[in-house]
Amino acid sequence: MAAAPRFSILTPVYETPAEILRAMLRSVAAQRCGDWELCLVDDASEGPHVAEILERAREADPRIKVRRREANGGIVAASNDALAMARGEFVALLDHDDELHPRALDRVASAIDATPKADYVYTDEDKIDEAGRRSGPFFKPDWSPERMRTQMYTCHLSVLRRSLVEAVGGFDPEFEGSQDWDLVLKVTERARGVLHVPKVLYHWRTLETSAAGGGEEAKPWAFEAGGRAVQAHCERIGLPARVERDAADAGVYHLRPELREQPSVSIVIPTAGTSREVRYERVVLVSHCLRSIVADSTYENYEIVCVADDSVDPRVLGELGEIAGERLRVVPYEEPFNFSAKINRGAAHCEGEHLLLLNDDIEVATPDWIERMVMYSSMTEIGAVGGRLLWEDGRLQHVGVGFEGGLPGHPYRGFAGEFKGYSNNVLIARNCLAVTGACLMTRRAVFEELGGFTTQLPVNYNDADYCLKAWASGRRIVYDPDLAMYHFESSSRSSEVEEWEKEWLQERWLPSIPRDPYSNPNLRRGEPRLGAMLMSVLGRPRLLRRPHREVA
Amino acid sequence: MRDLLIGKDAEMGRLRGRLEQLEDRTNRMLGAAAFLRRLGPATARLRSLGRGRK
Repeated sequence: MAAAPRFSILTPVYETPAEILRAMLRSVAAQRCGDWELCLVDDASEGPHVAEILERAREADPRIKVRRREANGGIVAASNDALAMARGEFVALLDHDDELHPRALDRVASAIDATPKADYVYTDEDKIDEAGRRSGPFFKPDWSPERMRTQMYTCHLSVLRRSLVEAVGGFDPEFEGSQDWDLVLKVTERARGVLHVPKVLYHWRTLETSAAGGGEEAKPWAFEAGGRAVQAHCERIGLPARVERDAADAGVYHLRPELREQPSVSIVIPTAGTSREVRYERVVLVSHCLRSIVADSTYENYEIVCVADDSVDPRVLGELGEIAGERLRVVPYEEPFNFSAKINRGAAHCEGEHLLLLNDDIEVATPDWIERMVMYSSMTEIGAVGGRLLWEDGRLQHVGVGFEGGLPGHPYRGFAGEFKGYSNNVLIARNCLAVTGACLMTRRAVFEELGGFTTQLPVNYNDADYCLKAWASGRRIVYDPDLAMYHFESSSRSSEVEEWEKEWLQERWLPSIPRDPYSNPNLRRGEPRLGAMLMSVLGRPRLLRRPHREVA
Repeated sequence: MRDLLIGKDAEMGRLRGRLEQLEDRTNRMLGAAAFLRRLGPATARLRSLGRGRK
């Protein structure tokens, strides 16, 4: 018996059109890395061409193994049969109508060589039509567990360590249609390492009958099963949330918090007692902010710590007391302006388990906003949580911070409120390197461990720096789109960033975090670079258009 | 009256947001066009080298 190959490609086959099936087989044969076996399971196709093509392929290449099921069992049964045939160290999932890039296994192998503890590897992907034309490249971020709960973003190509796949029980029939999502969630719960290869190495065929082409109409049960798979995952890891499907977008899911207890939260609000016009009414911002917290929040176990400059009118402080009652604590701040110092001063007076840092020009727009933040912040591996901030006119102000050249920026800032972002980035919960300090929750213990906000940064970047400290300590930062707040931003800060602030941040963080892992080399400010799009569209594999040739 | 103005602001916000999106896309296209223009002389040189070889 020959030595076990490194990769076993699992491909359940059912009624695949002849030319498309041949293209799939050719794409496997064209792999630069030859250390593979292809485990094909014909799920009792009625078309005689399927058995004939598979048999010819098997005869032509000893690495190709074929099994035919007596009765049609569906994708899960066929995938499990393919898994039973596999001998490789890793299994790669390839659908019967899709194609691999010639360097797919080669590049995955190189990534694993560089990180031998990797148990799961995924790559970027694009779509390919029946004529072989490519489109819609999906340039993915590195491993983002929070995103994986609201979108099956890793999808194709997925390569998993076989021993782990078998340890979690293989493909689960309970999640037929989203069995891959369920499998990846189960494997990554135990994985020692997850790798992302930022290259388009998989071409997903858009047929009327495939999820890539037909969307929810083609496979409605698959999207329903996806929600159940995430729900089961939340229960396994103890995340107190109910999974809900997006009303408009089939591939997007939302987590609604179902907290079993309410840990104490301290809301820290630095204020200078400024007033301005909000919706055609002159208001003292901090009073407006407190009023909205008290009136609109459903969470009960919180206190409010206002760090007030000595310039704040005593009548304003009196008003705050009337609004928040015993929840309020006012901490005076008399030194020259330093946002970081104000936050640290407030935090030192807090008693809550979680700190919620809030600008005084914020208005609550989501009643369960604190529950949402606590849901994430309670997880030990989370360092900070932020939400979707909107300007007064509904435009996007903050949807998580992106980094380019070591400097933070706000992708989609000023775009319409209903803008979904590239690959639904605005709509899904996901990880990013930082969230704005205008509305940020962190555990008090983490805040103290990290030394709070850096006082060398009195105005700008102190929030980004804090999040980077949390990230560098091995914790993740979360953006939750369902936590929407209004931010009357212009009144609270100047947008001017000093040159020294940029240099300070770059010097501190660029050497250790040279690129944003939650972006992609092919993205710029959250959207694909035109060059990358062109390369993807022009670089067609041409496998389908070649004259017919059997696998050799 | 106030509600009406707030509604109009939201409508304006949507329009301004879309305009911002268009501006962003235009800037990306212009950037790509400039990049291609910069490539122009280089590709012309390569083409002439190719012709020279024949």
